[in-house]
Amino acid sequence: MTLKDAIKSSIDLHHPPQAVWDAITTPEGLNQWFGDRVFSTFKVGDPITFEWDKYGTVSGTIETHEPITCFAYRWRAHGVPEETLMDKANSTLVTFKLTPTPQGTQLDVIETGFLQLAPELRNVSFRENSSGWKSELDELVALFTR
Amino acid sequence: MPPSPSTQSLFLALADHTRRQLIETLANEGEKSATELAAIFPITRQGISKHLRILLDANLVQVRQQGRDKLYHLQPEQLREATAWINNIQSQWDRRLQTLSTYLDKTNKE
Repeated sequence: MTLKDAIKSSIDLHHPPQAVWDAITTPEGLNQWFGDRVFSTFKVGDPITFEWDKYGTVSGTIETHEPITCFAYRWRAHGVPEETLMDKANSTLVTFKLTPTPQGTQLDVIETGFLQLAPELRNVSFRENSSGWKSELDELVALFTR
Repeated sequence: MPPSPSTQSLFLALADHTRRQLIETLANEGEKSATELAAIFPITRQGISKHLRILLDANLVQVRQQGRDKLYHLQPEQLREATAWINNIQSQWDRRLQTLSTYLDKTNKE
């Protein structure tokens, strides 16, 4: 049995760290695989906003920006308004870590702080919408095979 | 949909590092008395008892009397809701990274 305050997801990519870094820290890159529209200067302390046509907007703040090694932002739980001051009861921390490998890059994503979230913010409807993510993937494949 | 009162007490019970460690210990080592738990944890028996009371109220643990001891054991059913929720977030990130991988493969071929 596992009881976790954090999740970690990893993937081995056959691409150099710079290409992966550009895909996770530029609006052009993120718009292609993460959000419909992502806005940020990507400077530490500045806001970042993710917009999805189907799910709405989730916003946060850049916490770490160390080129080609580590990128992190804290974002509000789904449904928390953009102006709301973030704390541990209404937000989680997402950290991307890039490690060079002989084949390319190992990318680790760690999201922490779930068990500190206020109970009323544990809205699973956005989080568990697997069909939504599946259709996004289909759209992406269609884009590149057009 | 707001969580039910029982769900609220469940998540509040889980929102504490020591209580999560108590749950892990009961999960890994089975039944324990408050005294046994106090010997493992760097807090007093009174502190352990306070945490166990919160876990009892959330139905995360149950207690039974054996001789002079009260033995506490885990109620794993109550954890299903919390673990299912975390697992959903895990699989969502797994899917996102697969999408990223597909995107990188496509753009670098062009």
